[in-house]
Amino acid sequence: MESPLSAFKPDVMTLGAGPAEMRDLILEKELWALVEAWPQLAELRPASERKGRWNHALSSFSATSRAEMAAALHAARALQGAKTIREEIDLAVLIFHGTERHEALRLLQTGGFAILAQMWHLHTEQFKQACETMDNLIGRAPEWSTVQSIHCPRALSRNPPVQFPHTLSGFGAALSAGWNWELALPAFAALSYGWFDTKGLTFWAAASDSRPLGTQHGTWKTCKVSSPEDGLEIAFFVENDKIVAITSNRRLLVEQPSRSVTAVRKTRFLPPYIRLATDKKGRLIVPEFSVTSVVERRDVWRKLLGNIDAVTWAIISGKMVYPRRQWVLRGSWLKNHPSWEVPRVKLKLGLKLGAYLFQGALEVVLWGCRLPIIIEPLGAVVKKGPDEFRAISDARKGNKGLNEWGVRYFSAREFAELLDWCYLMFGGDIRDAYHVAPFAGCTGELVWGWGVVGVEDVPGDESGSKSSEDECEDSNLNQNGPDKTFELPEDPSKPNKAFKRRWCQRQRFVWGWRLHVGCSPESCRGSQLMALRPTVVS
Amino acid sequence: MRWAVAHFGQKVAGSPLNCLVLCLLRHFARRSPAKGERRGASRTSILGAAWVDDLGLCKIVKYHGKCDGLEGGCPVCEEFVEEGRKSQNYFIWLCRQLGIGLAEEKHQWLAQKLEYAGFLYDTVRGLLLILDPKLEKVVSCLREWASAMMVTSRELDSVRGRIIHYSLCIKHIRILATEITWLIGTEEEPAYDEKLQVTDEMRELARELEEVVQLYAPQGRDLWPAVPSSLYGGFLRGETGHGVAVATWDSGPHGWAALWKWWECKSGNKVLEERLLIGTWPAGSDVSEQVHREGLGGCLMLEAMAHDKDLTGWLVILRNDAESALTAFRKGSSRSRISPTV
Repeated sequence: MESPLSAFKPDVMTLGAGPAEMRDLILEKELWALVEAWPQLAELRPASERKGRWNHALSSFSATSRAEMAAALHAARALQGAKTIREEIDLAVLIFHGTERHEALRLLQTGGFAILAQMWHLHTEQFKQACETMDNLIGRAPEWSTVQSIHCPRALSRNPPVQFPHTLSGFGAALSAGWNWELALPAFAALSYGWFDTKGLTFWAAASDSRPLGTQHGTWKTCKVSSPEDGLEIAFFVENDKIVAITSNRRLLVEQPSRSVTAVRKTRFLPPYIRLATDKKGRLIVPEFSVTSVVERRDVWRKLLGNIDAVTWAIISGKMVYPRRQWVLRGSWLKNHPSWEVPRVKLKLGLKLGAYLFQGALEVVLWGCRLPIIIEPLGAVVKKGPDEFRAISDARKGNKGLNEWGVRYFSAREFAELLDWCYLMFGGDIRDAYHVAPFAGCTGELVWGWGVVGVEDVPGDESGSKSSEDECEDSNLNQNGPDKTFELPEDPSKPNKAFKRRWCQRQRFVWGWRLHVGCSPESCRGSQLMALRPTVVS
Repeated sequence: MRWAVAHFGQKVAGSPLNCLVLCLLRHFARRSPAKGERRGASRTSILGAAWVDDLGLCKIVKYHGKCDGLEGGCPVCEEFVEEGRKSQNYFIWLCRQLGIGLAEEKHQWLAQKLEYAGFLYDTVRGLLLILDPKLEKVVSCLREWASAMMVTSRELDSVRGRIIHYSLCIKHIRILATEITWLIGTEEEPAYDEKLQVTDEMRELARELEEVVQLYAPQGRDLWPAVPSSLYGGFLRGETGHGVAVATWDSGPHGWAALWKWWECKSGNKVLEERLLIGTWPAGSDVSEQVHREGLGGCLMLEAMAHDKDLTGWLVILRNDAESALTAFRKGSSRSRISPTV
């Protein structure tokens, strides 16, 4: 009997001859919608004309996809602590973006990109590179097996549990191995505290039903993931969609770097050269924005800009993660470069560091707080202009193992192509641009923590008390700042006591509660290794 | 202290910043088109480019032919100033709202000249120019080189990099940069840092470079240079007018032949003139390789053309079937020493 629906012939059918063409048409439309909403994907098309630009575009495509999915993980973890519906919605949007990205990658991987490559006339080599990149982002088929027992060496269960330090790296590796999004996201979102064995090779999640005492019997699904660059092989044991145990062939427990600090005297004062700059009239130059400004104004971004791509959304939400291809398994603490150990350099760059502290771009790790995993050396290079020096940190150690994340800068010629006769132009320069997009820290949420909240003038201390001497300890500086009311000592290497007192009359940072992205030094759990890019200033 | 990131490293800080900046540029370009206008090409669109934290933005001005611009009091340009000011105010306002600080001392206010990526853009004259401090730097570094006794390959490489960069806005220096390549020799360590004697040849090159830089820097280069294929199409249609010629040549083992054409105005009519030039190779010429033959043939052809007609200020479209020979005319050859000497 003929179906009554057969009489129904929608107009759209005239575009294709049959169901296969129809499917292609729908897929094509879906792909175009995807390209329109995904700038990093759209960029692949114009970038295919030049090799350099193609490499940048492809690495940007890969890194932003990872960053979006990692932001979803951060959001899923934070969702448990969301206090208001608004917070829940914010986090849900990030989870949605990550989910959508995973789905989109799967669509591209399973034939979608082949259609785009044909339409965009990509070279075979480019097509292959893109497919490899996508396979690296989300693997095709994970190899799961079942085990009946796990031998767990006697773990440190008597000690307080520690946070698993490689959640994000593990999440990325699991996706690369082909884990389903529906499994990976909740499983890694729930992976938090647990115990390491004495060798740091096995981690037993505290959320699991059993305790790590000898050999455990049960039925677990297990999947091995590897990081060839680290020579690392990790097995995740999953029960009821939860990760209960992790074993590895290399030590996963990251120890904090240690160095003899006996020569360092404990003090609650910052070195005197770290201070805010003043203008010609002696007024403080207070930075207008802090490192949390963008995150604090994320609602303004959404309201004024409207159409924001997923990775920008993640960054303004404070969930920025820089993807790595190597895991951080060892800490490091390297000495500052000799170029930093020059009084003049400290004096000039101290003003910059003071501003960074005020903005929150630098945070003081107080005594008793956990030390960062990677401590990078600080150095200085000569710079033109009144600043004289530029502070640099030797980031080779911290940057090792980071993924490429390409950028799109516009050359002089490209800018010329935007113009035509008589066009009007204007320009601007972003101040402290490299501190605009902060890392997610441990949580990606705005949290309160101890930090610099203001500056005050320290009243004159004519008594020359111990505390003021502490502050003036490093006052063998050959300049007294732009404030002309203070005269330089005759011999800068031997400042007299009066000079010291006058120095003390200058400024002191006021400490208090301020916002931090992700965590503050006292609340940092060391779980977001990518965020820990510190420098010891003094 | 936590994350004092490398201030000038692309990794970690530059890439996320680039995401934010591109998002802003997309917004400026696409914002609120009026009814009937296309998104991205409306009166409210602000087109822009970015180099790390340096933003250059522009507002469309209706094409109205060459004029003296705002400085010369052009009324058409003046019409668009109000809209331009609004756009700039919006840019500053928006950045402030979004928590992005702008360096006020580096603001470039609405004008028909702008500094971006180390160049000066002049949309009234249609020129890309070198900035004065940069010109001083280039000249001083060339003088330093000419007066030095010793120089390292690294230092020469630095000069070459600078020359290549500024060849975008100074005519005729690109080909000389390739000459420096021949002097650098190796780029391998440790020879890269070994001191080399500054020869007379080097000094001569440095002086020539300085001369060319001084002569052509004020002239700048076209912001929108002609696309050869479009220019050739225009020439064939007779749209290019006086001062444009097309020279086609080919070379063989025994000599070369060229046909060059140009439009001439005769009694009020445009007439396409053409001239056939034929020559043999000068004694001792190395013409065993095709690229050398074509290069030498091109040089001899230009010499013959110059004898035939005063070509000062002319634009000549070169047509040949050896791509590498054409490339060598544009930027020299770093592979073969013979071509540049030709």
